Amino acid sequence: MKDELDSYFREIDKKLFTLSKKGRAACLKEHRGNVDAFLKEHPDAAFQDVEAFFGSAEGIAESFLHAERYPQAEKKLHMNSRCTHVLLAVIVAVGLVIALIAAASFVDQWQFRHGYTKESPVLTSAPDHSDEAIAIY
Amino acid sequence: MPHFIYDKSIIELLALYLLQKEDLYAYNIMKKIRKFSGEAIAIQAGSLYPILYKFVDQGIVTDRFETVGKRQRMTRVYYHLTPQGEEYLRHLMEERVFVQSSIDAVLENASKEAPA
Repeated sequence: MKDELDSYFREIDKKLFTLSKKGRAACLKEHRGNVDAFLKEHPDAAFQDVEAFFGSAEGIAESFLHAERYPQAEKKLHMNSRCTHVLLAVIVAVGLVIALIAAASFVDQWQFRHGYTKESPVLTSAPDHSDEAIAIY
Repeated sequence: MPHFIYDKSIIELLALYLLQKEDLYAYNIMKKIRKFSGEAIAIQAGSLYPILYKFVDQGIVTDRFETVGKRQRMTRVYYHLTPQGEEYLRHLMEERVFVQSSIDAVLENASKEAPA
């Protein structure tokens, strides 16, 4: 029952993410107080009895949001943790791609400067006019 | 299984009537409605919270916070009916009587009227 109750309150808390931190805490504290009173009078109650008496987590959260008693959180960048993780993953992926391209470019440049490619200008004498030299260009 | 009431006017009337006698928190109000109706009707917390908060904003009730439990994670919010709230309750009761008698009148008179 404790796990189910914890999950129930966590779900309400998640759905109240648009409220200020203070507002969320106040809503949850009041609802916990009421649920606690119910459980004191019904010590053998199951979680389903709690939910049947008070309503679903979604319904409770909606009622707090609908009540508009507490202000919404400030409209600054306030993403929930899932969005943050996705954004971080995208940034890391893009960074890795850029790093790979840069590394490939560096290796290519290094090879070119040190005569590892056909076009390397590391020639001690003027290029000849052989068919092979002409084919490169 | 009790019949859940979602009608705001009924919930307002019942909540305020119960608060007339003593200060109560939300669970008390829900419990008393079930008990006094013989488990015939019930209201859910999601229907009651917005009404109580509206009452506080309008000065119809005042609230008092009592922290309970370990680590102070829980609060009992007791609601108290103000004089303005008593006046509003009186208005709700009068309106209920008026509407109920009007409904009864329609039903009675409609049944007497011969079909067209």
